[in-house]
Amino acid sequence: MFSLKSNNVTFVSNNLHYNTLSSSIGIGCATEIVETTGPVGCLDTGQFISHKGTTIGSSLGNGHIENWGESVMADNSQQTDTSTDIDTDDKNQTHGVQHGTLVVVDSMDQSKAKAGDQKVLRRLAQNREAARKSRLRKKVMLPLLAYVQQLENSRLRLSQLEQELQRARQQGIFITTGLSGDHGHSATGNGKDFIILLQALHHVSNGKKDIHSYELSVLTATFVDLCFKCGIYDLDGYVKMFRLNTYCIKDILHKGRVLHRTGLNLARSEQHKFAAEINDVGFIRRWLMSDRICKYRRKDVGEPMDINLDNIGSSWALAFDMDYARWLDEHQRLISDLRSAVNSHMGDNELRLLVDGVMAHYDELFQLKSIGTKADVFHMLSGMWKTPAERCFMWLGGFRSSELLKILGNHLEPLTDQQLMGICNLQQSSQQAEDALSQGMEALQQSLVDTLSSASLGPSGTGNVADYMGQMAIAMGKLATLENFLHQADLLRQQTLQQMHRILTTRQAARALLVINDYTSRLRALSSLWLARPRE
Amino acid sequence: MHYQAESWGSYFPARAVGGDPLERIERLASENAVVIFSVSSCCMCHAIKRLFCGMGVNPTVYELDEDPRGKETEKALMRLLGSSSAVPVVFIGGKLVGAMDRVMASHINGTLVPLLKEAGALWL
Repeated sequence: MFSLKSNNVTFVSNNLHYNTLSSSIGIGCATEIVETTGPVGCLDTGQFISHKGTTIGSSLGNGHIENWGESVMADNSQQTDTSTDIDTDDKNQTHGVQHGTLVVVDSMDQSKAKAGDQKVLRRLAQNREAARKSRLRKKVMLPLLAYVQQLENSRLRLSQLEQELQRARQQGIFITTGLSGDHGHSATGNGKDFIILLQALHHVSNGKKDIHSYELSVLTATFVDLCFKCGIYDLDGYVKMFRLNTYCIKDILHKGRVLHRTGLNLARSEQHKFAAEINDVGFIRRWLMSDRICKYRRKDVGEPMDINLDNIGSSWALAFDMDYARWLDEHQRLISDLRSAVNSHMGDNELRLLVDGVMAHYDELFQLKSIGTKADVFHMLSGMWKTPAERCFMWLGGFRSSELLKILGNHLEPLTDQQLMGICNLQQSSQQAEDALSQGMEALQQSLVDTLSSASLGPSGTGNVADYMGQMAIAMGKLATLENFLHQADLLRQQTLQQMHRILTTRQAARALLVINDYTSRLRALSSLWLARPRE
Repeated sequence: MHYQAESWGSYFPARAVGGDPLERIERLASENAVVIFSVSSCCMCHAIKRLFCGMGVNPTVYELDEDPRGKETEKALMRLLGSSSAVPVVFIGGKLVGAMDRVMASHINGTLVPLLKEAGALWL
């Protein structure tokens, strides 16, 4: 679970680096959180927290951050309810009390001091100093505590998700909201049916127990869900259906295994095809509606209900989010290796290996996004898998290449003339490409508006249904081009990174990657701080 | 004449209308420095046109939906590209560059501008 380090903290008295700390507090305090659950979530507050032991704060060159972080964490662990403390004012001096070594502030004492008494004067000064520190601490600590609270909630949520996924893996079911919906039949029979059904599925897929692939889980859940909604409940029916159409299920399960096993090495065209197939639950629906299956439908259920396809999108979205979180985790690890290599003045050859490793890892991200775009383009566009600040400055599902180059700006010096020209050209061409794609998107939006607002869709009584359907079909076609735009934008990002890698020397490229990572880390930290800020 | 038209059915129409679609494409492509085959309602085509205009290039655009032989040209382009979408396609200096992804890739890696200059579409 989520455990905080609780050390004995010797704090405050010899640590007066408030100014530097307050500006980088968000990053610093994160470093000492030790978590025992799986990968980092891509949730709002959790994103820049790396795995065990990484000190992100060290990139800002302030080692004292760790002490600060520890004290805050230890502080939090000893308070059962931070929220009430946050609201009270000077009563927060209890913070000091819990750490034996923290300076206690009691500004009420000031009234007892008598002027002219040396000892009293000194004590007054001490008290004032302590009061100042306490106020500063409050100003910084409260948002931190709130932030930590939120982190804890996020951690819990993440571990819940992981548990759910684990359970789903064991049962082969992805627990979506649709399954527990209003089927109008007794819930007790279903559990057993599910398990037996899944055993049948396993049998169908040649006894392979290793169905980790979430695509399979989603497919299974969708399939079963659709069965339910078509009024097919009885076990015999399931098994018979499977036997009848094993080739179809087997085919998809096989592809699912292939996709999972080879992971991202599957040819892109194959990935697209598979993703498209999984998404095309129309074929499942058509099959379920077919005459062969009819006789397995229970007669007393009546007409099959409308099939709800909402689950599928959200399942994909969740799956992508988790994959992205894992990618980010790995990315941070690679970056920290790179950072220590640069700081330790490693030789060029070894450094090149590390740099190439990071670049290859970026390629994996683009593969991931490619699959995600095919599966759920709106989720990718929404950027819900990023933190709020990142999302705000997002462009077409990701970062702006030209912006990245501007950020790199002066960090790449010294550059040869040829390199300088290369970088300038790269910035200009990426800017032009971005503008072109943006204008294309605007045209898309405009044409969608035109389609949806055409006269035939009006509320007039002579509304033509065929017309409506026609316009909707056109609109659907236009939405499909969204995927293409997102895909092109990702290609642009990938190519910009690769070109940059080509132009720069190994050492410059390493520095560039570190700078990029620092920037995005700070953006993520900003999100967390913003979310955790105390509200009036 | 009439009899000939019937017995040479598969050949005559092509000759009468002026060449097979692939040849026509090649001919059109070599007539101008930058040639774009597009469809007026396609937004990706719009993007690629904006890209060239933004660079200061003035491309020759053939809108296939306004072309009487548009359908067959589209099919020929699909075969040429080996993809399910025919447009947009860009030819520079008579040579095929490709669809949006190729064009963008060559722009980013710095090969597009020299190509344009060579074809005379860009100066300075």
